[in-house]
Amino acid sequence: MTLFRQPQSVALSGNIRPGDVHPVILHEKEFALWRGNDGVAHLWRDRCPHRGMRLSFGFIRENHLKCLYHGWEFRSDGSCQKIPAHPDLEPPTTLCVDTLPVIEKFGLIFAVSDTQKSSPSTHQWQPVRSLFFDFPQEDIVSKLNQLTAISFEESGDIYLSDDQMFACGLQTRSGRQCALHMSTRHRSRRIRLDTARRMVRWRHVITEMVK
Amino acid sequence: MTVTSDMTTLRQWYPVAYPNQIRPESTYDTTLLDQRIRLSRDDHSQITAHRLADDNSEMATIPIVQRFDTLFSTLGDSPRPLPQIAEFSEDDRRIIHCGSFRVRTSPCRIVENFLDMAHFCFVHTDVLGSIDRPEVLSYKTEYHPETDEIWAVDCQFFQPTASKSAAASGQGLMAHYSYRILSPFSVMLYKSAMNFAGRFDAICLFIQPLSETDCLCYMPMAILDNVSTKTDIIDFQQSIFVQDGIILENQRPKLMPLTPRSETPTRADLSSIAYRRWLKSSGVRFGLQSVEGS
Ligand code: FES
Ligand SMILES: [Fe+2]
Repeated sequence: MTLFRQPQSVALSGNIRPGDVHPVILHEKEFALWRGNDGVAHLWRDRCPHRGMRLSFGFIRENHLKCLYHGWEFRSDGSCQKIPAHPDLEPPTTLCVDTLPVIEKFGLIFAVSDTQKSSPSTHQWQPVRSLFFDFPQEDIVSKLNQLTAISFEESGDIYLSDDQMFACGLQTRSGRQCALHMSTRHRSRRIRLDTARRMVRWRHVITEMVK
Repeated sequence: MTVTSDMTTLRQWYPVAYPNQIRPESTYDTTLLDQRIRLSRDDHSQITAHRLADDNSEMATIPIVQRFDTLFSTLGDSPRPLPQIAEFSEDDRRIIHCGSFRVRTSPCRIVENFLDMAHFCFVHTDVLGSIDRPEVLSYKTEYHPETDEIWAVDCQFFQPTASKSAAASGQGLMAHYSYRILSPFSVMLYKSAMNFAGRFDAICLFIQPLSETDCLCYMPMAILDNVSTKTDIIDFQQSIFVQDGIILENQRPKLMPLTPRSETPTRADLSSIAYRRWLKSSGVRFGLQSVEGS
């Protein structure tokens, strides 16, 4: 399943803990973003192949996702492992959830169009905050450097601050909605909270400007 | 929104209100298949119904009948007759109707959920099913040509007992069910009645589609129960329905897809397969995802 050319940031790594499942919207499509207890993140189409229930309502069992409606259990590669209504039935191998490859780097989770290696250094990065906007992604890009006092430089799919201590990823939710995810390498909790607070103030300003 | 052109859907009776929702000398406005309608009760307690124009003026009258303690109307000519449900005229039964629940999805999804036993232990955990007994034993579906109904028979599912302590000790019983699809958007079930060996509670689900993805559900029941209060019974049904509502409003797409492989059924879905096939052969399009090339 390929949806976009540019890699898309879908969440902050630190906000999706092992056992979590969250709904995510990317280019007007619904996805379930989840992390198994082995620490690996997955991005699946938010639709169970059985009767269409949103998988983001499901729950994580070890490294499997279990659908809320009838408890069908899917392995981390998207294949169905178990149909509880028929304990003796071996689910057909064709029975599979649509999946998208993801990578993690700079404390951000990215949806990518083909499998790449995750950066091993991701654990040094901590979440600052995700912000959601009711206007297109382009409007954010042009105003990114008005955010706090940090100046950002585009570097492929991410934006890095001049001192390389902050990273931002962008997410197109639809033609009129986007999100911004910021992470930091700063260890100080105070710096993270201050920056998050400034981001929220900045959102008010930007929203006024775009109106 | 324009009213559907799907003739099968138009030629059905639909619930539009419970009688007690319309007080004497007052009116009640609602929507049926995207058509706004008004029910009025005069000073002789007589109820009439009209289509409403855009400016809220009353247009042509539409029929209204009362059955199963519920008011039904139709927008079509020569509608399919309302079903015969003998249990509603048995003297020792209590006729109770349970709210009208709003569910924002296709009426087809709602019927299918009502027919489905495989979700009991996951969605109605410890009430209608127990998480360690999820198996759906094989059952049969039948077509009844004289009434044009689909039945699912010989259905059974393990149900934990109502009391918490008994449930903890693993006690429970096999509850027996039969399902009847009464029309495209109405369905009922017979469930073995707790203290009346060999007899069954009759629980109906009549759907008023406001639009293709927005419905009101009416649940008149004819049940055998001398113990529970009316409030207990209504509370119980409502708590079940709230759990189903969360599922129903989060199925994607909201319109039910009929194309093969868009959804994958298993053996437990025999009744859903029969329902989908019957909808297709009856020419229903309302509430269904449109099939390309047809
Ligand atoms: S819809 Fe997911 S298990 Fe049935
Ligand atoms: Fe249910």
